[in-house]
Amino acid sequence: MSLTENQRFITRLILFIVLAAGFILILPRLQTIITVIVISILMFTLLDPFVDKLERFKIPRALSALMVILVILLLIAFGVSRIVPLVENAAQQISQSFSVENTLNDRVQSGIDFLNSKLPVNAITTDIPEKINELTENLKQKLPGLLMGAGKGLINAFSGFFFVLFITFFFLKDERAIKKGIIRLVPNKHFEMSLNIMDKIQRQLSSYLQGLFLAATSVGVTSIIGLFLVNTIFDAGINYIVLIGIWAGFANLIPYVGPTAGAIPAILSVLMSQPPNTLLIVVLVIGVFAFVQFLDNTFISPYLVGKSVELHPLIVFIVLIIGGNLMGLLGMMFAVPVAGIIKVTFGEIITNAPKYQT
Amino acid sequence: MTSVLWRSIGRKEKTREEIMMEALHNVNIFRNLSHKELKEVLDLVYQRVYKKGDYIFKQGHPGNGMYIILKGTIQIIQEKVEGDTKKEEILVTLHSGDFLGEISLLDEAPRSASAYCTELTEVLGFFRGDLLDLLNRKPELGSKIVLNIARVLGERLRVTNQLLAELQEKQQKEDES
Repeated sequence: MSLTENQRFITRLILFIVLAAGFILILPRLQTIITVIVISILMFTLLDPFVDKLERFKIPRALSALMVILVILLLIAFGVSRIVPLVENAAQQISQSFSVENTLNDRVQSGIDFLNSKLPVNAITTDIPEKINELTENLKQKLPGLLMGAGKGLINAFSGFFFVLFITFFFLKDERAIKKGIIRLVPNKHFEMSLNIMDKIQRQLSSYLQGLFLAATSVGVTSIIGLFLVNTIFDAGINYIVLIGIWAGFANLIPYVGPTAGAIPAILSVLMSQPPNTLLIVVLVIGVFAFVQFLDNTFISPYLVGKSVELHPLIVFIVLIIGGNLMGLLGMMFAVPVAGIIKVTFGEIITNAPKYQT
Repeated sequence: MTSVLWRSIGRKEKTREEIMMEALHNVNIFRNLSHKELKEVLDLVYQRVYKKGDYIFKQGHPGNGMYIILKGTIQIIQEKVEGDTKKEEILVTLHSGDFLGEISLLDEAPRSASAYCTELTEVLGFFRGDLLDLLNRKPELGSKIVLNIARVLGERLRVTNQLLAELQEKQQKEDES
């Protein structure tokens, strides 16, 4: 008996150690899989209504799902074919800006001379041009590396995205079979409760995520319209308006910080192109984004996203930090939607499970 | 020889799916669906097996859908509080082919009674979430089912009204005498 107990204890200890070691080894690889699955679920939630709409027209579900996925692929292909040249042009312009050292130095030097002539003492040192030279040299050397890294990131994103589309297709096609498979694992005692809670969670998440997506899209479109108007009326020469709008839409997923991040590329674009009334144009651009933000906070998000999934600002910041640590910028963008999912899930469980007690 | 062949043909067992389809067809809210439509519903239902002594649902719990009995026996039990005593009353006993809880397809009102399995019982479950989903994807079929539910409710309401009228008339006669 004593020997048996001892053996059992040792067996359990060994098993625990093996499992722990296995988990630790697997976790880094799991992270990629988890990321792909999470994004696939988000995509599935956004696209499911479209597949349902197609199914209304007597199109079989598998075919409906395939059509929707193909449309997404076409949109992505079109987007990439249009955006990549823009990014390349932007990079070239940045390089050219750095290469015009003399002009930049002359401007800075003339500014310093002007200030020195107005001040009683030489308050500003004369080695600023040298520091600017150092900065431009550093950027010249590092820029190719940065672009190379971005290229690799793009390739990785593409392969990951292919997996996302593949998994999303099967989620769309076999939605009910997957749901049945999950429910089959539930014991009878919790069967109806699990089914009810699962339905509620799914419904809430659908409206929440679709609302988020529409809000981001609205911000993007409104930004594009605003910048286009500024360009047209004031001949501002802002470049890459569509690209900036798309970025603003995505950035809007990050509360509080996102709107500011969305405006920065537009301001930089103005500063680089140096239109006649630079200061005025910058103010107008800031005004456009402030107005977009006002629209979003006052009308768009309250209507589309609702408050049932509103997150406390402190939680938002913590979640953004976690997301940023795990997956950088992409993590920050997805952090709030994921936090919303978690809140809805546990909220529904906590609200509805007690109704099935005793 | 001939009779043996005939008997063996007659005894051929139906497929699993055919049994379930027939069970669905016997439910009042699915009675006028075509074979293809029944197959659509079959894709949505959950098949569950309960042991003797299990509850399928309990009085007071939120209602979420209906159940069709494929095999076994279910007692519908209502718990009543009389003073300090809880008393269980068996309202009805249901068997293979019977169904229960179809009104829960419409709302989430608490169950008015419990469903208790007196032997090994196999059921098909059909739930409100899936009905709403069906309305979204196949509006014609979904509407058909919802109209059937409305018809069932209408019939029950008429029966209840008739009973109420009879009771009132009886009460009136007693008052007169």
